[in-house]
Amino acid sequence: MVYIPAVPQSGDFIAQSQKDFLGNFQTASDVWGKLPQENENVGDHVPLTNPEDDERGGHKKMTLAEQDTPPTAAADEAVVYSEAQNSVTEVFYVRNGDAAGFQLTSAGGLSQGGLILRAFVVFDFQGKIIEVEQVNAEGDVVKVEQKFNVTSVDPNQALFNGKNVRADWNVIFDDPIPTANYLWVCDHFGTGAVNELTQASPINFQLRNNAAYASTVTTTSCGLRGYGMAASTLGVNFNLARMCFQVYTVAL
Amino acid sequence: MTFDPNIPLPADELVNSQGDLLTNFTELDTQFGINHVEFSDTTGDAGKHKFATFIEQADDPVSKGDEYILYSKEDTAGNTELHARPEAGKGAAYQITKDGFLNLGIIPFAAVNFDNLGAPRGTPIGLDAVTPVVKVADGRYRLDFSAATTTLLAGSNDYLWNVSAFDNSSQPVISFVTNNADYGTVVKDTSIMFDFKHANDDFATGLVAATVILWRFQ
Repeated sequence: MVYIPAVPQSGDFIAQSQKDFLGNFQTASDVWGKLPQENENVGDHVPLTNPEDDERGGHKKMTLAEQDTPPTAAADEAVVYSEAQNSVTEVFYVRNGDAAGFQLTSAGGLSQGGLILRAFVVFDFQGKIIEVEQVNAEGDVVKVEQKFNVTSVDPNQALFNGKNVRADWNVIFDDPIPTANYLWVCDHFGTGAVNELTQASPINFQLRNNAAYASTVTTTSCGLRGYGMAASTLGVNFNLARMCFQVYTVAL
Repeated sequence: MTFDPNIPLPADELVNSQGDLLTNFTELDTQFGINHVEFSDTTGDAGKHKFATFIEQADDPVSKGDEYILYSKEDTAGNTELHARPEAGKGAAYQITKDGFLNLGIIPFAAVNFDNLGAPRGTPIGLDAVTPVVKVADGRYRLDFSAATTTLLAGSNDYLWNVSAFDNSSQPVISFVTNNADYGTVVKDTSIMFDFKHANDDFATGLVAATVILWRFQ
């Protein structure tokens, strides 16, 4: 049924108006939002007929239909909307007096200053992702891996007696990351003796050296390596204790 | 016309109610259509949001369990910015946006991935459009900022950086801001310079890729 704003007309009979009213009320109710048992994805709002009366009037979600012309914000308002950016619908916001809206999302991520955090991970020498304790919704203490968009950190060389003895890893991503406009951050903590300069520490943690960029940086993984400073420890370092790795791409 | 929630009354004549009802049905469609695709839309988009206008709230709204509230409020700078309140008992209200950015505390203002010649791999941000990276010498590169970035920094060189690289050797590539007794000689509001060296203090001449991200406080 189609909602008809221009009813009832002065010449309408009540029999006709009753159908128009019923149609309008049902359409408005459906468009506003359907109950979960019918199809909870229909409509952005808590249904008018929702049994929990203190939930009525709220939103279930906000579907932002792409705008050809960005809206403007009046005084004391902030407006959230979506607009095409490189043919992709992205979320923007604009405040009163802003010459243009500010882009909040890009290519499936949040954009901050033109960069999107694509992945991060904190791991130890064996490639084990470091866990932190958090309290879940049930109040239980659970361990959560410190990672985002990372499946695992795998040794790049064969294990020795079941152990990773080379500071050589591949970070495997959950979702592919485009290698264009690719930026990374590498940091580490080593357990070498204080002031030790000639043995295994200080250590350099970086992307794996290779003459071919594409051998180290791929859409599905990134090669990482720890290097000791002394020639005898190149590529081998048992003092690397914790590595932090982040990948960003430039927003589109 | 104004929506009237108190019609029709029991004693109203039908001739009066007709106009009242017409007004209400029309106003419902019109007012819903300010932020939404109208009830009367027939394209299949009825009920979706065209955009969401958040009228500034004087106070943080109170949340119940199992809900998350998005709203706008004036921040300490006097701007109307997006805020959020987690579900009850799961944290305080917080500010989401600030001056056109997500409110995360620091903002990248320049970034680039470049090769041995200093040629960008991809699209740099915040750097000079013609020569974003200048190869000063083997293993030494200067990033020149765009005029807009220099203006943004407003004469300050108190910013943060991340730099990392790899080359075609078996040596570690140590990446750092070029050493100098004077901070302002290499870290400027117009440029910044980086060195890439091996452990024996030789410059890394076979650089394959380096990335730099520069951040400023928000």
